[in-house]
Amino acid sequence: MATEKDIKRFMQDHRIPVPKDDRFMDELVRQIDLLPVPASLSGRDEEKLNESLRIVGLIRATFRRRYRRQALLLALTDIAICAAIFFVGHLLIPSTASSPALQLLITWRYLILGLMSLSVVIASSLNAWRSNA
Amino acid sequence: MTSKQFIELIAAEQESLRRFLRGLCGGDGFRADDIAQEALLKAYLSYERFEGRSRFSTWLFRIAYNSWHDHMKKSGKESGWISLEEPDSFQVTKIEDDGTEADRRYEHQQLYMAIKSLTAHEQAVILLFYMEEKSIKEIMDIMEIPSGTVRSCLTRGRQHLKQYLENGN
Repeated sequence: MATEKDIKRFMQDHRIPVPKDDRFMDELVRQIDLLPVPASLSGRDEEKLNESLRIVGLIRATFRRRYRRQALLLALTDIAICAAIFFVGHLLIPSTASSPALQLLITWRYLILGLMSLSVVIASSLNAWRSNA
Repeated sequence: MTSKQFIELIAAEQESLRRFLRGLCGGDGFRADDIAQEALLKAYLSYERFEGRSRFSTWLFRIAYNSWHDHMKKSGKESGWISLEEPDSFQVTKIEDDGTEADRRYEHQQLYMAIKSLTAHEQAVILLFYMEEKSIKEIMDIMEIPSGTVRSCLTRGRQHLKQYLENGN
């Protein structure tokens, strides 16, 4: 009883040979040379595609630079606002605090609060910068 | 893509394509190469129709299979089998190259005789599946027939080949 394996072996044993040294490809190339080059094989499509990719790349780089500048300006502005609020608060403390211990406590709390707000602002600005890069 | 790149691609595929066509043409190398050349020129001229949905080789095989089918229709030999006893095909073989092709043909006579017992569809499916090691999906794409038809052709083809092998060739 012939099995699947026998069929495979039979087909592989009788694999039809194709002459490698014949002039089939030479003749084909000669005939192709006689034909007009089709638009799809002129390579022009590839040139167009590369040019489009280059333009998109340039636009992307321009946007990236613009967003980076904006994010940087935003971060600097935020830092300046936070610093101004902090200093104003700090300057107000001596006139409102009744004892040096209370004054120190308020100063430390202001400092911690100010640093926390500053880190949140910087983190969000840097995040905006990174995601637009 | 440029013409040069296209030629490089077909150079890599031409051997298996020609083997497949030789199988379909019952070992008639001249006829098979004529069909292969016609198919590859068609592929060259209609490259824009290649959408990349299947592999490049599958697309080439589809064109070659359709070209072979057209040839068979034209010559009125729907089965695609050219008998070894047929005077004109034998004469062509003799002229080809000092009998070496005839020897080779004799060596593969067993295979051609086995394939002869199959229908045109079965021949193509068996050659693609066993000789060119194409998958069912690729055969579906090449022959543009549903997977059920490919499977039934494969089953029937196997049965015929089994019978042939069991009867001592």
